[in-house]
Amino acid sequence: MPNTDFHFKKTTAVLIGCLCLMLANVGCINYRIVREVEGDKIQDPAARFAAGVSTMDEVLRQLGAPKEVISIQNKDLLVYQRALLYENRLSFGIPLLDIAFGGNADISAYGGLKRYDTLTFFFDTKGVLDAMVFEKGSETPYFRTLFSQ
Amino acid sequence: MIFFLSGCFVLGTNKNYHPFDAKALDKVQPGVTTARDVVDLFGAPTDVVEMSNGNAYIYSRSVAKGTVIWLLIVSFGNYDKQIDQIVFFFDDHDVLAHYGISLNAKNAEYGLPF
Repeated sequence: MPNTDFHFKKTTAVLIGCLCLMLANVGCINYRIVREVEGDKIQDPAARFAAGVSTMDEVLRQLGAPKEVISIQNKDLLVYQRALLYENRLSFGIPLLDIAFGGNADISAYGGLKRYDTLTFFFDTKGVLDAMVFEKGSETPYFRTLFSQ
Repeated sequence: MIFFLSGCFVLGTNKNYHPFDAKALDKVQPGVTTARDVVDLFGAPTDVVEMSNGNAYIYSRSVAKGTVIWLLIVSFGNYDKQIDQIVFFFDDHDVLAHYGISLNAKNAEYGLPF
């Protein structure tokens, strides 16, 4: 019959050891996930508006106020935008080494990716829609985009 | 369990905000209201943009809510910023041609990053 008592004590000791190690490293090891959002969700406008037909007034009534208004040569632009930032940060330091050896081991790595959903309408001087561009940056994969060149 | 849940929890709010006056919005009428009327009703605009045939007056307010949770070795942060914005478009004679309203500041939320 296996010695369950010994197995139990060993497991308990390992668990307590892990907890002590984690406790000793509180503030030294940290994994942080941060998300920042600015602006409301933006939907694909293709079904609702058409170049040469829709007007600025229609766009404003359906989508509300844009984030930005820009005027370029003979064109007025309404820009609707939502920004989405994700950041992951892993840091690892052992300050006890600083006390013992006068040097500190400190390693950290982080990656942040800000993606934009942007919808831009181009109007002519009469306020008729000339063109529209929609890019849904938030649908691009986080890690693949983060590590791409 | 208590050991693993030990940590801190912080909620914060940033406001660049006082609500738009709903009664003032009722008085706004395209083809009638002038730029001067709008300034009298809403005060100085946040921004003014010169358009191809007039001007745009932009009024902007924002509310941001932040949540930070520190657990044992993991921390989570979430920052949600939403905006109330009104844009008035005036023609060459400073008469209101059209306007757009987005009132999203009330939708700013505390939360987790996933």
